[in-house]
Amino acid sequence: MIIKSLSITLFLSLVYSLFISYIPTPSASQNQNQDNLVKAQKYMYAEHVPENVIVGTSLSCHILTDSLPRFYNLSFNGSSIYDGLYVILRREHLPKNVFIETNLYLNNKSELLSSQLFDIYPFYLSKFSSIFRFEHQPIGKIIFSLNPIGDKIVVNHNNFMKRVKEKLSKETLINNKKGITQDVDLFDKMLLLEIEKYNQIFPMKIVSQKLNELDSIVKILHKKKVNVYFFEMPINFRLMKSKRFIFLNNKLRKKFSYNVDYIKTDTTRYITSDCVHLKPEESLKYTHFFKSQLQKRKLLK
Amino acid sequence: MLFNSFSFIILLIITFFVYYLPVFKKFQISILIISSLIFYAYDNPWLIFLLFTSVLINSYLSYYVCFRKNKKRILTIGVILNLAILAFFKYSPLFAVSFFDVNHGVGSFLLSIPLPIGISFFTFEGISLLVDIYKSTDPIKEKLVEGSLYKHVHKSLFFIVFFPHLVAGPILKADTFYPQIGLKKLSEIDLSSCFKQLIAGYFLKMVIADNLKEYTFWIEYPYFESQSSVALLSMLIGYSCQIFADFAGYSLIALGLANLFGYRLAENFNFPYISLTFKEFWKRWHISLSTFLMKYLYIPMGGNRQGKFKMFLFLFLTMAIGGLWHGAAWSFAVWGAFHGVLLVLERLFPVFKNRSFFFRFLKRCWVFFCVTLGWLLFKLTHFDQAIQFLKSIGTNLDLHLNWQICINILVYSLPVFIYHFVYLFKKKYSLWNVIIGKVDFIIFGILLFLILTSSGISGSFIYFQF
Repeated sequence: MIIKSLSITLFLSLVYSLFISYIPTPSASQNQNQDNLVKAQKYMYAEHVPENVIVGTSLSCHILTDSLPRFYNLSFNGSSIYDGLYVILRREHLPKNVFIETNLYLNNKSELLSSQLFDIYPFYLSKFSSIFRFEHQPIGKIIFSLNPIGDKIVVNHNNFMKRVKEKLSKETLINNKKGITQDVDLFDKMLLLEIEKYNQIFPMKIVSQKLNELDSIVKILHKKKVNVYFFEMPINFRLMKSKRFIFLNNKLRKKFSYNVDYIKTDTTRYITSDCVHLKPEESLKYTHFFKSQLQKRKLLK
Repeated sequence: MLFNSFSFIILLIITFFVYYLPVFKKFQISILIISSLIFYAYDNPWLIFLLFTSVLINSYLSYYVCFRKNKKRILTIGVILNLAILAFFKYSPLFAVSFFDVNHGVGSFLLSIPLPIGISFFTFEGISLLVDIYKSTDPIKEKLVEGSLYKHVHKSLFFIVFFPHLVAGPILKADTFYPQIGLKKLSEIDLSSCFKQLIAGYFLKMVIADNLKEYTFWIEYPYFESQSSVALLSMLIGYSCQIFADFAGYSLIALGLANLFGYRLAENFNFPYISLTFKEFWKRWHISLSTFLMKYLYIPMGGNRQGKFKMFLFLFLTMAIGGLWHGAAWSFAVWGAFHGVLLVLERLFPVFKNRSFFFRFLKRCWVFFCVTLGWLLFKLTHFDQAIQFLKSIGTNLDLHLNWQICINILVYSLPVFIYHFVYLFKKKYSLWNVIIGKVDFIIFGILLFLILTSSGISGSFIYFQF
């Protein structure tokens, strides 16, 4: 029975391998963590290393690389800059320029992400065959193919809810009001949580540890003739004025005053969806700003 | 060490080969003890001292329970010591938060006490060892405690630390495990049954639970407030499936691993979501805990021997204590009490027996609905947040539907429902049984393929925190 089952598995693997080799299908990533892994694996197993790589947290995920030729965004949602940096260092060939987001340099690297990427078993399986990579998960592909039905269901759901509203007009008014205030309430709650976080001062020991870790990585990159740039993503202006934000920024600039080029911080007020992440239209605005800074340095035409 | 980690696979392979080598056949138990200690100490070696303390207390006291005159006193001391260890390591943070200022003095100290992994499980097994020996009749007692004190400590150490059940059960009972201890031969092992248990277990954990957790993650304050009612309901059902897949998956892996070394552990799950009543649910869900609570708490309290009122009270208390066993937060006690109330109500108002398919289906849905509602307290341990979640289901009707969350939860929950339906059909139609039996190698081949290609991002098992 065991041998028969193993033969079935082998057979399915071969068929699926042929399927994804000859019928190109889009990436099947379905959630934030999978997005991160797909991004990392695409970088790790690509034939050529991109010339410019952005490394950051979920904040930098909002930089739109479509308008930045020869750029690859290795920013991970819910993670840290160190994850991206270790992915870069894993390859033999390094990019020419690395852009590091500095907003959340205190975040620790994700053990989960690195074990999924670098542990012997997942690393060699994914290297050996693309069917073991996250972007080719068969269940993910099935779910992806259901998306057109999903769009119809979402439209029907919204229409149905509209009709329910029309029927219950009195309640609708209350609900509508609730709906409007709820978003504002949610934003306020998030802002309060973030302000609380940004008011906590980290122990100096942790700050020094993280600065040293970043410093050692920057030194390795410099040694291998990679140009390193630091940049800061805009967040809610109240948070940008917080004690912690200013304190950490000063510490970073003091540590790296000699060897890293800083891309100017954009002090324009940006609108965020949850105090820290830019709204889509604002992402475009910041990408333009970022692009203009690159053009000034002649990194982009 | 996690069952789904690479380091564990290596440890397992080495242990398996050394265990069955003829040269080492005299040392089989010692080999398993060494592997189990490596397994337990892998992430935090210091915890091994606590494990040893627990084992020494229980093996010495259980030995003396057998041979000394003042058995009852020794048993009482043993049970109290076990509960004190559990209370100190597991419930100190709860005491700190409830009765002290957590920023200073005692409160701060209590809050800093770490929770050793698996403490709830090995403490209960220690109690089981003491009580089973105390209560057993002479011939059984001889089987449980044979030979010298050294031999008994060796056996007890093995009983408590055997790695398949060490950190998250099933909770073993001494009277069923001790008689199994002995020389094992590879030729006596049913490898295909081990293979099936391991594949089903890993599939439930790695493909179902690990993928579902990416979507049920949104049941977190205040993020759930931005989701539509349909998405919130999907997440709740998804969490119900995730917790089942996670724990039943773990238990199946544990059973398969123990089987590989010639030991049979009792089933911990028996298709709980097909239950028609709450009583039936608790006979199918985490069976080893339910039977433990029944044998060592509910019956000693008085069980159903002291009238209806007291029976209901004991039932309620047993469930509330069982709830608190799950975690150091009052919400767990409330979760247990909620199940206690359901069990009492079910006995107070028995629904007439109707054998129609539709009626039975409705009853199953009702039990599933209540159980699923209860799981919310596992995820949101603050009551106000749990209530806010339920309110949001009612008020977020007009918010945009997040299709990605709903479809992913639907797809990954589906195997859990199919798993239960297959069991129901197997029970009802014998032909179905024959068909499944003939094509099971295809099913397990597909499951293995999905484990290799569609696993989620591995996370620790939910029940590890207990």
